[in-house]
Amino acid sequence: MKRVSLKDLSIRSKLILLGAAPSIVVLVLAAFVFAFYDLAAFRRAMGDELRALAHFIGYSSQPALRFEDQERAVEILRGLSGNRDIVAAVIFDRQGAVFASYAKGRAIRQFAPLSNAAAPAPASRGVSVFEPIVQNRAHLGHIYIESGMERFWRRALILLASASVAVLAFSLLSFLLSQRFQHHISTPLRQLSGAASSVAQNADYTVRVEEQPGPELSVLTRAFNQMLSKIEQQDSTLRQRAAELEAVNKELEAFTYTVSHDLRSPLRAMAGYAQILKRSAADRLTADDLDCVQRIQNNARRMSELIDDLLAFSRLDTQPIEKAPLNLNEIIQRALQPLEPLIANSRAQLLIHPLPPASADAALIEQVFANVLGNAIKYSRKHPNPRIEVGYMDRDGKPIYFVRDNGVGFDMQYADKLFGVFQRLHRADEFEGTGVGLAIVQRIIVRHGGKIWAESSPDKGATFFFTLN
Amino acid sequence: MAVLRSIRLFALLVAALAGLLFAPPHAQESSSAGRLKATEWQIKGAYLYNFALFTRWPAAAFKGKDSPFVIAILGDDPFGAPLDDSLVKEQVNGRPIRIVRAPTGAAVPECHLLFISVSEKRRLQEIFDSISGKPIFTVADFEPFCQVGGGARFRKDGRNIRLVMNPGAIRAAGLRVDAELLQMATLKETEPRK
Repeated sequence: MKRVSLKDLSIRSKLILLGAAPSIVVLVLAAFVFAFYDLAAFRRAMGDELRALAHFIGYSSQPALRFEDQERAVEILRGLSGNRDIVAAVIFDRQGAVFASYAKGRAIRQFAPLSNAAAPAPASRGVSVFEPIVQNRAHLGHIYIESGMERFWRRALILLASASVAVLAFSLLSFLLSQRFQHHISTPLRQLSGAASSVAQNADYTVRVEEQPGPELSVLTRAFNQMLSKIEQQDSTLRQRAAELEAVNKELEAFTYTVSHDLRSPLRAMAGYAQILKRSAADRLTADDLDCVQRIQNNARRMSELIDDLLAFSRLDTQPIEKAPLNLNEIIQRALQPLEPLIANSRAQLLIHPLPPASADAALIEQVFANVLGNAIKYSRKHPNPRIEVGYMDRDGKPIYFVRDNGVGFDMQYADKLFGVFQRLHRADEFEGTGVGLAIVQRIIVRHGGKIWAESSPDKGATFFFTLN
Repeated sequence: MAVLRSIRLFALLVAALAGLLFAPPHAQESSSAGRLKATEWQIKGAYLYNFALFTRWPAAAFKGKDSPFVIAILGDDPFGAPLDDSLVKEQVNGRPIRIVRAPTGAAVPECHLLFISVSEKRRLQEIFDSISGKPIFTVADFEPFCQVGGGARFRKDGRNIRLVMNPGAIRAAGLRVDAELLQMATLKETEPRK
């Protein structure tokens, strides 16, 4: 069963409760106290009435007792039948013997003679009085009258009924009043919360809350409205900026693509003509000339590679990411296949720890491993015993993948340049490459919601860490 | 409070009405057969005293504050010494009791309560005439007494002694008798003399 806590109630219900509950509690308590007091007083009054009646009956029966006229005494007692409450009455004579008795209805009760002038035990938990009958200091006997509690309980019932009706009616009234008054507080708050949730859900910053009377609420609503107008202003500025940025970015993309594409044709022409020159004029050219031609060809090819990488890099932004459950171990094997000749050349030793399954875009992650592993092989090939390790660490339930090598490493002060486009920390004649690989890797990781970083020091190898999310 | 008071009043009214409507026709009654084993005259003597208890004499009937309450027995005394014994310690409204006896044919002595013996039956009218207007409560145990102007008479009803009373005659003597006492008695008025 769901437990309804006071805390979960709406402010409106809380206010109604706050307004109505104390008065209802007080009302119920007051009704109880009043009923208790009234019933106690009533019972006391019953006793007083009965005592007065006993005195009267006792007085009236003095002649009967004096003249030993039992019939008259019975007649006097029979007069009690007018009072429905009285269930029994007995007149005892001077000796304590029953002189006359009366019992209501069909109830036949035998009354024992008195012993030690003690009152007879009442038949029920009613009220009873036991009074001596005395005339001129002469003791004539005793009168005993017993009253039932019917009238008392009837009164208690009437009190209960009227108290219930009153409590219900006043509770309703208190509830209605409370409901009427609470709306001065809760309506503005509900307007505020409604406006806030509409702002949160629809990002509609044009909503304004009607200003409310009262010191706190007016401040609150005014502050809320001011906040909203500020947000609206900033939002529109941001939207504008975003639109501008998007436009610029699109232009830039188009520019990059066009430029890369258009750069190819002159490059192809240069390479082609250098080839023709080499073939047709080989016998007329000196060895130095041929070397120059060869250099033209090499640089043209290098530039073509640069353009290819640049295209691949710019394409990354437009390509959608398709995440799927992946077996990273298979991905690594696939990424290593094209690298086999390089591994064979450098005699690098590979240590690959099993990795847990992940959710990512298979093709892009393969490229990440290909680039990072390629770098590791490349920069460690000058080591006599190149060693490359792939594994992961568990950090708060999320894996951090790493690729470690024992190659040349880099100076940590250039670490921020590592992932920039065309940024290289080594000369091209020392280690070939375009400087786009790690930029692509970073772009892929970021697009997966992950992070990439590296730790190294010169000649101590490098470790690349990354996360996917 | 006013509402509750009227509710209480209404409840009382309802209770009273219901009481009237549903009152049992026959209330249970009982009387014990066990009684004093006193002689008839001892009982009658006690009853003489009872009359004094339930009757009020005018202040003028007494000479002083402490003057005694006088019970006179006119004619042959049926009570004897036990009456004196039983009343010697009693009082009537704080006054001691004195018992005086007058022989047959004697004049009525100064008294408050007069028992007229059956021996005086013949000159009853004469006695009544002699005490006419005086605050004297007259008691006898013969007939006719009350219907000729006597105050109270003992009447034997089986084993019980009942009362016959003439409230008019008692009132005429300037006495006031307890209404409850009259309730117990068979009432007789003075019949006009033939």
